[in-house]
Amino acid sequence: MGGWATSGLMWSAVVSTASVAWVWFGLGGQAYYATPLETRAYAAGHALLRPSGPIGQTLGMLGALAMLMPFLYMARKKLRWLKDAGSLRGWLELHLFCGVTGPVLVTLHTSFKFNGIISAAYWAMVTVMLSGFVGRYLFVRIPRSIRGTELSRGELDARADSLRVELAQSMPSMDLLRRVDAFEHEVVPEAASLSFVNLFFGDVGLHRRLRRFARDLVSGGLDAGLAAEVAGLMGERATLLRRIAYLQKTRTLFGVWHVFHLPLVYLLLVIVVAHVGVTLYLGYVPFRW
Amino acid sequence: MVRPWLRLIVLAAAAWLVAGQPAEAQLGSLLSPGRLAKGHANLEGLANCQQCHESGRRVTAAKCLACHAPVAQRIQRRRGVHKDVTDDCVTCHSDHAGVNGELRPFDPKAFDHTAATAFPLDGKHANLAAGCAACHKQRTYLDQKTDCVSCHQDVHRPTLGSNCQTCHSTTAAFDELGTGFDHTKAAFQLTGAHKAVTCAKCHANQQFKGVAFSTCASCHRDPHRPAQGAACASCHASTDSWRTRQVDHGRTIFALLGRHQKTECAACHKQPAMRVKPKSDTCASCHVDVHRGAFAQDCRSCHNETSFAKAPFDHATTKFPLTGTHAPLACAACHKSLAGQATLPAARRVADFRGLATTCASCHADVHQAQLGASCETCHTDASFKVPSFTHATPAPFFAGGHAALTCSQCHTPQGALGVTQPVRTGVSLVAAIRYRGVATTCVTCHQDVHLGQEGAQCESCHTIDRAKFSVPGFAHAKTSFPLTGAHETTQCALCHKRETAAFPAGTGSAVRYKGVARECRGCHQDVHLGQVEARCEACHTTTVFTIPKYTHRNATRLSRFFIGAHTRVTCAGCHKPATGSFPAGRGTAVRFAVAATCASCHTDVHRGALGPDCATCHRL
Repeated sequence: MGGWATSGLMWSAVVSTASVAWVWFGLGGQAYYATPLETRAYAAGHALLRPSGPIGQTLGMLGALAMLMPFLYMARKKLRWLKDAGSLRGWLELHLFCGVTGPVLVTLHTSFKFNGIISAAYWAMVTVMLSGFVGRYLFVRIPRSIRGTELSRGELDARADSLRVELAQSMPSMDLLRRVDAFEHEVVPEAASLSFVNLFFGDVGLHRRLRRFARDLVSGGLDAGLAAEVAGLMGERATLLRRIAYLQKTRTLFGVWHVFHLPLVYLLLVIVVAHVGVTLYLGYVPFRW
Repeated sequence: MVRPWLRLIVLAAAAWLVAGQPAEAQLGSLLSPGRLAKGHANLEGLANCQQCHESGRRVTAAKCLACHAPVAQRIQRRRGVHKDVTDDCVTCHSDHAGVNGELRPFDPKAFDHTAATAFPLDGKHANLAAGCAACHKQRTYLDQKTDCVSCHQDVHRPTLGSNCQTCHSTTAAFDELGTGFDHTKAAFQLTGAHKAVTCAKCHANQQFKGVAFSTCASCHRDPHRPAQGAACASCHASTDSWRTRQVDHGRTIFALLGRHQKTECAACHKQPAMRVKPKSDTCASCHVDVHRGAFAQDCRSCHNETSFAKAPFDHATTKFPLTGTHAPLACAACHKSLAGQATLPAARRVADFRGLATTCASCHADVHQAQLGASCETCHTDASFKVPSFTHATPAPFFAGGHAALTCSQCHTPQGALGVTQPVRTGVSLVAAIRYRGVATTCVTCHQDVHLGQEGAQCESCHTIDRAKFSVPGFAHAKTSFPLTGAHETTQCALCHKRETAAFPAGTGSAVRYKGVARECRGCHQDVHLGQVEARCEACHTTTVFTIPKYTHRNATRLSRFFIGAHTRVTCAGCHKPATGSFPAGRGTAVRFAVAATCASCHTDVHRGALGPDCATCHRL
């Protein structure tokens, strides 16, 4: 899960950072963007970096294309005849890459000029991107198979039981197993005490306690390798138990998130199409700089 | 999963964002990349996009210049800052940068007004404090005209035409036309001080045409009272200054005489033109009365125009006519208030002649310290302090003889007898108090007792004032205890009365001893016999001569057999010869009297002792 989840965001970070650094330091963006809007048209970098300039417009086009890519992900999800076109998780990573890189490129395209109602499209885009992070957070908290389909409750319980067996087998004593149970009892909330705060931030506390528990094991005389294995199994099982506990709440939030995430995309699409249409109509055609 | 009502909420929120504006404005602002600048505010809105933008051709110069006709003209005529423009306007100009967006990439500091326009900014136009806005009141720079009145007010109220450069230039301020306008072109030539006069002095109310200048009075007011007429040049020949020396003061009631002829006009005419007629009836009109009103205002009774200091004042008219040595004295010698005021300004000087008494003491210090009273004229005259003649009140015999030729100062000496030496006048040589009163007539008052009290106080017992050098002709040594006889009568006094330093009655000192000189012979004479004979010299010698005229040899009876024969003819010195050896008075050389009666003591033994010592055996006297 981790490898796939991070690859899209990682590449987007790399591409975004490189793009920003290139524009900022390589093309004089630092001085250009610091120039007040009123006189920026006469700054040195204006010819290149203005939204209709060679770099600015190219960045806008690339950003727009990037922002269109998530629609392919949607199509892959919705259209049956595309079912075999790559894994859903792969498309999701592409979606994440484009969803983060696109706004960065579009931001450079705007030259930080957020005038007029066109800025509504920009801020809608930013909102969609930020909500994407929330969505991804919720998404990874709904356990899925390696093919991206959600696991059923039975599959989840089976996985938890199997981890329990692995733990029990690695325990050198029953006393330690009882301490493991006490630990799980602390970090996995009861059904009556579920909260959104604990949903979003409980994992942080879990990992902190887990590290402390592992240190206690080592200081109690347990072999360091065995302690690490126990802690790993404990962490995996505790995380799984927490996600099982919060599964219903997570699904509810994810449903609400979709409603928030998707309509802004349509709004963004409408304005961008109008923006591009008018631009082309008035002669600001690519490669005619 | 996505609920329709939630989508409606989001879309409604989006619609709300653009609500509140007319539909056209909403769409325009939706598509516009930013608000237009103020200058283009009337082009805001969707319907106006194509006022500037052209379908497929972006923003064309033709669209811009359709509105900006003055620029179009300049481009066409290749003038002004746009003279070299060939590109589209958007190459240099840009909009949609907000209401305050800059439409002109214009740096006033870098703009070369001279090269880009037909109006160079030189002289006073350069570096105007208000910058461009000093002239360019409108937003556009292109409407500004280059004629002066487009910026400057024509203060001449168009009497001089519109060609301001005839008189003015950009290098001089409007009120500094001395450097700009050539007045030689005018009917009235500026000479002398007229060159330095500001224009407004003559050209009041900015009137430059038709200014009257035929007479001085056209501009100048006649300050003279009474008025001196229009012929100013008769006195004021030069326009360099109102100051003039050409005035014939004789024409006035105050003809200039003496020092007045050399006096600067301004000394009396403080503000020459305004007070040309000083009151001349009294000197005090100009001169400070240094006498502080002590005298009547008739200064001429003492002074004239020649000099204040050398006023021909007749002191004879006062109680104290100046005669003798008083005559040449400067006033300040007696009138002290005049002294030390030469450096003072006249207004602070005081010349107070009052209150000066006529007594000598009012000026002269009494060097006699009141010994002789206040009537100096008893002895002195104003010719000199030296007393020419004085009849001494003391009896005449005192001033006879040696005293007759004495000067006063030989007896009346400074230390005389006041015993003090002190200054009695300051500023002059030291003058000591001389005692004139109470000087005793005893000899020792003036003369020193050279005898140091040996002879007592009665000098006149030996000396008289008739003889010079204190000779004592009346002295009779016979009256003393040592009457002079024989050779003593002709012996000089000093041979017996020698000067010695010893204790005398009046004290220890050096004096000729008169009292206490020994009467014995040895008091004066030396004992050449070195004590061989008794002290009574007169037994053999007399005062007449030292040689012994008749001597009866002592022990003659005992030596009766010796003084016989040839021995009776032998002189004393034949036997008593000088010898050096021991004598009763000491060792020395003297005639030895003690001689042995043997033959060998005088005679030489020619037998060399062969016949024995008894010469009488063979020889007879």
